[in-house]
Amino acid sequence: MARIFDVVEYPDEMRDEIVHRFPESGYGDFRIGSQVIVREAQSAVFFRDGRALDTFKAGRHTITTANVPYLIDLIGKAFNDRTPFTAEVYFVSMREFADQKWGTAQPIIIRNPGMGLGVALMQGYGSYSFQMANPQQFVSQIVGTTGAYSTADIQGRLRAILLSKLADLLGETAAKKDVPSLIGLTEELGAGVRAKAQDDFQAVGLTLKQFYIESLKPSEKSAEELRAMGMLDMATYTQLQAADAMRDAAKNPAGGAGLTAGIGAGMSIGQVMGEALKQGASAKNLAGGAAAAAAAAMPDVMTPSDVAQILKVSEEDVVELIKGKELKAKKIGKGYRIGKAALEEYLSK
Amino acid sequence: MSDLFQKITDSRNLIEKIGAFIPGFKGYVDRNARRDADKLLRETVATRFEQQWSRVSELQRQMIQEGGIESVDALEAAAVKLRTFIDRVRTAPYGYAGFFDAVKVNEPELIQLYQFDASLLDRAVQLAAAVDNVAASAGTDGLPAAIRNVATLAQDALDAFQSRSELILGPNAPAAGAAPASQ
Repeated sequence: MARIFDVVEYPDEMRDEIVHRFPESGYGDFRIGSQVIVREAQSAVFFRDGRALDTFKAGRHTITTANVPYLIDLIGKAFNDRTPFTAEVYFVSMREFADQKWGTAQPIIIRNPGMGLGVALMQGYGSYSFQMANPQQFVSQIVGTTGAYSTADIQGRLRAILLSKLADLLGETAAKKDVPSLIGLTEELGAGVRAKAQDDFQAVGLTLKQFYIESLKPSEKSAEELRAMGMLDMATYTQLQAADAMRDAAKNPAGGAGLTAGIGAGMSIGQVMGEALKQGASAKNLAGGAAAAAAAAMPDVMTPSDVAQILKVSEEDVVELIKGKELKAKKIGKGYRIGKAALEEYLSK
Repeated sequence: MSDLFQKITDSRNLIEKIGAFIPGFKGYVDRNARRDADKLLRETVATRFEQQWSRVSELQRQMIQEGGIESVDALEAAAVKLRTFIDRVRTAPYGYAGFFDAVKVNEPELIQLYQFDASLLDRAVQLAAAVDNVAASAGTDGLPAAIRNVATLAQDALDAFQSRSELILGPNAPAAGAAPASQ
């Protein structure tokens, strides 16, 4: 039978698909009076002659095009056997895309005044859900003429919005609350991110329905990461070095001092820490105690790599210390050699 | 809002107008028009409530800026209720019963549904006033009470909407969105 009208529908469940163009590629030549059937969880943006004319909600819609049955076959002969009156329908999923995942790929640095290292690296993950708010805007602004557009195509952008809002909110809140208090405000922070990100989602025609924080806690490697990032002040930095040196000395009974030296170092840690707590001892004192403990395990002559291992920093940091004349060293050929006494002197500064 | 049905029937296309003269088919077409009118009305109700939901988000942002993040969660509880209501209104049943069903849904029942949904517009006005009150109470001791009022109005709207199905099926019918009773 000759083609008179078309029935345009997309019965696919659109599980991860946000938008599906009909036809998927090329141009549409729907006949005047064709029926567009839109399901309850869909909207359809109707394009005619390249313009987004309107959005159809659930139901059956009769569309008008200039493709009059039979007549268009004659007109088409003048246009290389195709219609000049194109029409396309973009089916847009109106279901809520739930259980989308987010997580901090990089830890978020926040101030933590008066506690621990003074700054903390927060890591978190959770889920969010979004739903289409304005199909016509979304199709025109984001999808363009793509045949199919899925959640994977926009996840990166949505996560970037959410993480920037979370970082912003954590920064604002951390100025008034310490980290343990922040962790106790998980629900408030989640609600805050949802509220803050709302306008950004609306800007692309979406609604952020929910934002949940499943876990938010300081990074387990905070100290190492902060040290590597150069985010610690000098006093905290030196304290950490000293603590590392003392720990290593206590663990290693060999190297001249033996088990007694290890225990002795352990005792000195307790004494020094006790003093620090009672009198607010300076970092210098701690470092001095640590130097004595660490000295037992040191060889007489060391390379920058050896020193880096002892100090638990990178070799580049040691070379920087040498170049900055903070750590005495001899240059032999292209390399440096550091004496035990020079390192002890540095640690006791 | 009362002329929505009239507008829909006036704008019928030729095939539907011809169909309206076929005995038996006219009722079908008219009932469909009533359902379309009700759907348009529900969309309007949902949009009005959505405006208030957006205002709640705006108030939450203001609270965060002013250092009152503790109040954000209380307002979020109201926002979640509003969101639930908006979604239920948008996805509510049109009012339909199968040919052999004991309870028939004819035009009088559909008119009742329409009137019920139209009454929800008044709730949107009340809610707007309550959200105004939250904005005015920011930074005062009255803020928690103002937030509770928004949450109460949102819950009332939800409770009222639960009784929508009773219009058609009678007061003992399970409410829309309620869990089915165990046998």
